[in-house]
Amino acid sequence: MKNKTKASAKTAAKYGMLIALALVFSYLEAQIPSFFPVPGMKLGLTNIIVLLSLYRMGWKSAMAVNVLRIVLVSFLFGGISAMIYSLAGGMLSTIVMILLKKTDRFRIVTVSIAGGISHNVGQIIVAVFALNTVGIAWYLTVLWFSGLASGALTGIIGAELVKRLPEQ
Amino acid sequence: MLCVVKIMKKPDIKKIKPDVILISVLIITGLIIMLFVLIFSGGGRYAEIKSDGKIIEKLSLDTDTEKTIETELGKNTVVVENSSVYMKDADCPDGICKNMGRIDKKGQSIICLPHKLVVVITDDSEENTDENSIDIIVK
Amino acid sequence: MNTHKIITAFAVFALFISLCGCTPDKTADTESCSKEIFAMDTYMTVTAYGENAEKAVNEVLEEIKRLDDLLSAGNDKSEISILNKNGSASLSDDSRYLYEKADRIYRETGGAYDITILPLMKLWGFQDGDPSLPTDRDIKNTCQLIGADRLIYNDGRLTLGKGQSIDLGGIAKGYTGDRIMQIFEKNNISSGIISLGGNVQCFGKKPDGSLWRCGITDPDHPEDMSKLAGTVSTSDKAVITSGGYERFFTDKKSGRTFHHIMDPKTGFSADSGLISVTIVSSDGTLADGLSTACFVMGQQDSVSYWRSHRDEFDMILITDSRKILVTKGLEGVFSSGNDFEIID
Repeated sequence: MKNKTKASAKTAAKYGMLIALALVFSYLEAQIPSFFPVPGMKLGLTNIIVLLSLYRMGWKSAMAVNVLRIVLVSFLFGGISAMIYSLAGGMLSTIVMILLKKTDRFRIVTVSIAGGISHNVGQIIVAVFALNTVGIAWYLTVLWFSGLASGALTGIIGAELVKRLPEQ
Repeated sequence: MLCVVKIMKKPDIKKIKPDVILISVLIITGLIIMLFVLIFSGGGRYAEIKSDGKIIEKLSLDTDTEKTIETELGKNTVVVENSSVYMKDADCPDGICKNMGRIDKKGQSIICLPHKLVVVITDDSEENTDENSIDIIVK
Repeated sequence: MNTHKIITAFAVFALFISLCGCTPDKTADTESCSKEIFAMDTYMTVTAYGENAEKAVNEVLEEIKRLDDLLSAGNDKSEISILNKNGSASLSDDSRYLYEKADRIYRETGGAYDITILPLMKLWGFQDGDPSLPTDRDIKNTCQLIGADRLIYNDGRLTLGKGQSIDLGGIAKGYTGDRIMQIFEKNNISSGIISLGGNVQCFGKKPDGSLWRCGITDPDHPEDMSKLAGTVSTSDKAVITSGGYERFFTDKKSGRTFHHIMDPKTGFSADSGLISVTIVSSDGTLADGLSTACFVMGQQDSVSYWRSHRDEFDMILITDSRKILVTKGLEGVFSSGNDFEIID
């Protein structure tokens, strides 16, 4: 009995830490003035948190952490209408990463790259439906490669962190 | 030491292959998409020149022309050459617009901020329903 | 150790809740803030650019809530509800301004905009969302109660005629918009744009110096944002539309369609030949009231009214036959994929 409460308190704390960190990253990212011409292009630092959850706590945790952080960031940063884009991107990205991880054939960096790309693809798909325009095609090219690059970056950082944190 | 390194290397190579394949596939897919976008963004395009938000001129990219716009804010010279557009001359204090290079794709723009002049590439299909330029809907 | 972790987590979390709400904008040195709120029975968004963007937007939200509490006819504790219950009251400054404006519009448009129309709205059921065709007799009886000319206004005290009740909903949002513009001004906001349930008001120009492009809803495709009747490029103006397409129902027996913009004189939906009226004016309260009044008046009377008040507002009328008429003041700033006619 005691062990159970200890474990759940520990889990709660872990989640709390991860989400708080995700919020810190979101805030920091927002501080960086965007040189990028395209909306949606960002470093995706929060993906590091998702990777950590995925590789150290399991896929369910990763999904939960991602959804929670998207909802919270939307509420805190006042972008409720933008939330649907983030959720679409986030869910697609998490699912892709979970599936790739399950095959056990890819390195963390690769999984992260695929996640980065699918995140942006998810967002664009929602945008096409919401805004009812196909003129978005050009953005897709830019965001594809930006997702690739940010996925690679967060993947490298994430991989290092995962190595260093045995069972957080 | 060398032996240890050699033994370590072999299993790594086996592991890398699927990653290399996936990443290459992703890169190639991205390039293919880019190709599609380039191919389909041709034909029937215009350079829309807007002063203070109002469209004052619309130049077809199919014909090479040089157009000088003079407003109370200043003078700008826009050139259409080989289906691309650039700002040849401007008497604004910073001259940034002259260095914005050539644009030729839908949505791209050259902006002369001091003169409130915007040159943007458009095509007919999105004339009325250009979400990108509608800021808000009155209901 | 575990509790320690939890506390740290929540501390960081709490720290961020207090810091956040709005982020510094991408563009060079302008801060921007955009928030959304549900008030006055509708969805509202407020966006401001400038150093005090966040402060201004928060002030705006407070003001919206204050006015909602003050004016809402649906809220029992509002000043208006209490007035309706008691039949007489000394009006607050805001209500005074609103009443005087409403009265002016009432008189100048021959009674087309009438705040005493509340019993009629209730009879038709538009207030509770379940409208139905009332009997001719009920309509006739209710019409007896209507007439803003029966209101007695003296020294800030408003007394209703027997059986009367008022609703300032037709100009409340426009007024709220004006108050919001004042708050923006006070906070040195450089650019701002708001949508109060579809009522748009712009403060200054866009951050990049261009005009705000406001799309006018196409009456035949009100849900489709990609189809618009036209666009107005503007700054420092309220752009408010009244349309029969917003709320309507079809009576099954007669097959006739009725919308929510009542004609105080007939007791039925205004059948003036117009499907949509958009008013563009720097006076939001006026724009809100006139959008209803002109809809009820119809093309001819609206144009006459405009000709004698052309420096106060401009308008875009869409007739039942879908003809678009635009007053001269909007020439050059109104664009559309459809044909339209400029009226002088």
